Amino acid sequence: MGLRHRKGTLLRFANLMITMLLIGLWHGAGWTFVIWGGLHGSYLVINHGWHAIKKKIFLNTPTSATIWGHALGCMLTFIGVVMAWVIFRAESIDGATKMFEGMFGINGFLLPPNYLGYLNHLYGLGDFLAGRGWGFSEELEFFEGLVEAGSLLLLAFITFFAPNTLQWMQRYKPALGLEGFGIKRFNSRWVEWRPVTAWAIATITLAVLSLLSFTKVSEFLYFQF
Amino acid sequence: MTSKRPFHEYLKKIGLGLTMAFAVVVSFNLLMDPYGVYDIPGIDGINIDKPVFRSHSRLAKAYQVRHQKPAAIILGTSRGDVGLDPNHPGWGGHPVYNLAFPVASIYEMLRYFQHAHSVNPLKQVVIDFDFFQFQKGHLPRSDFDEKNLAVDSNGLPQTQGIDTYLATLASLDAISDGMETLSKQGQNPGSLNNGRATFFSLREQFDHHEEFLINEHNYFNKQYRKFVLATLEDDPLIVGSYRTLLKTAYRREIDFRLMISPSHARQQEVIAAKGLWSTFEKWKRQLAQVNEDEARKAGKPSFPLWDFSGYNTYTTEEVPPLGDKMSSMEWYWESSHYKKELGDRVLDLIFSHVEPGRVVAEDFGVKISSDNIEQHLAKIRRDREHWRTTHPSDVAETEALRK
Repeated sequence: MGLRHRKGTLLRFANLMITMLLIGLWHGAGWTFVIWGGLHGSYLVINHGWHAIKKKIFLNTPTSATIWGHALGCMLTFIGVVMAWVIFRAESIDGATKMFEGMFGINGFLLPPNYLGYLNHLYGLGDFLAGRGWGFSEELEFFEGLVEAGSLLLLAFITFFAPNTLQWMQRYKPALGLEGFGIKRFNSRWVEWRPVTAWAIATITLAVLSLLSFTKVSEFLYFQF
Repeated sequence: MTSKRPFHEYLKKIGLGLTMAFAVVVSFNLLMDPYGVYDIPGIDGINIDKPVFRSHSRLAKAYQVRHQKPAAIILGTSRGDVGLDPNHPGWGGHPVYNLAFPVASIYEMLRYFQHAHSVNPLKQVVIDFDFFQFQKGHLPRSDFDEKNLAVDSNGLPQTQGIDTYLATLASLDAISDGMETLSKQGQNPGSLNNGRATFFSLREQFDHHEEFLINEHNYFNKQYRKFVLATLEDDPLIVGSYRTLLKTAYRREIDFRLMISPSHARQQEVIAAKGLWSTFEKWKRQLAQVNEDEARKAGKPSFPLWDFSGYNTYTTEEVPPLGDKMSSMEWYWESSHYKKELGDRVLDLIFSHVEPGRVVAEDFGVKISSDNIEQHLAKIRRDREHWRTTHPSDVAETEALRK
């Protein structure tokens, strides 16, 4: 009984892995895509394995009921998925490696020059970091300052706290077999989608804004040349 | 569950709403016509002034040429854009359009020439050349789009891509530019119908000296930083385009008049401070040489090539002291952009036109060719040495860039 149970589990894991690898390959004929698929396969296997072990250790006490458990789970998932996306989008495995080096701080850290002063208000944190090799320079080609940081914060808020599509559409059973997945039902008339004029207007507005942003008109900023 | 009717109603609302929204957007963009693509009749207070032409000159000017069909054009960078007047009496009466635009590359000048010529065969072209255009690797700017031009680089007619329609009728940028157009009606739009830019700076109080310093700093540290002169062998896009321009002009017997921009003496000091003086001279020789080469091949007399740079009456105009925001220089905005007043004198000489009441200094402008270029360059060197002894503070400021 135990052996058949374990063999069934192993088979399920193998199927998950094979499916995800194939999905990776479907996205493109390259190792980066296959590895991406493999990573997601691993995450699924680890998740299933973890739930199985959890049942044995904690005897059916749902740990995700605690806020910390939930938050930790979210963070782990988010980091795992982000790292997999880096590989997916990279031109090559080496390219992905370079991105990771940057992300993990192996290439050092660079902040705008005025941050030195700001951070020094915190018990001289600015000088401390500078002493440890952090740079404070204007040569930040890709950082757009507060606007960019603000946008990212807003997006993070939406990612972690806003309802997902399944929750928006929950009135109309948007996917099969959702009941077993523990997706919290959002009990809010404002948040639920319904086929009413207000939602039509919101949808049209978003659609129009998106479609109109596809094409840009290049502008020449009048430098004194 | 709920009945199907609400969904049908909902979808109908979406369909209707989307259609209406797009109709409104396209109508607004068409009416405002912020880039002048559709030549919509001008309505006072609504769309007659076009304030965003200036920041979209490659796009706007391509279409103005289509609408106005000029018989003569000005080509060049922002210097020609600001300084050379299509209404100068020396042009000879035919419609003229100022087709110069900021940081124009030689390749772009060739393409816009081909464009204008295909819209209406050109009789006359004045080209204001600048040193930085001949830097190896100088590329067209990001807002250059071949698709806006009537002919491709081989001279064959090409049709409008759908992208231009999408960009000018169905984009957020067009809406935002349309709103800017609407809100700035009645103000100085920044460029005239004939293409010339009306102002260099909007600032009420213009500190010439500060502008000189900023411009010189930019040139020293950016444009001239790793300057290598383009040669035909390693940069066909630049010298090759120059040759093609001349070749076409000689073959079609278009009246071309070439000029080297009247940069201020201090701008030339920056060139020297960067160690590029001999490169600068080499560039002038190259301009003359290629011109004569193409003339010889075509069996025609070579086009006039004027050098308005050097250390003459106008280029050595005194710069007001730093902090002086009230004095207005007569001939210059800053070290490279000359005012229309000087541009008028440039055209007086180019067209051998004498304007009653307008004096042109004797030492301004020399027609150069292989015959006289060495004496000419030697004279500039002498003039420069003399100016340097009498202008120690200007020299000090430009040499300070080296630190």
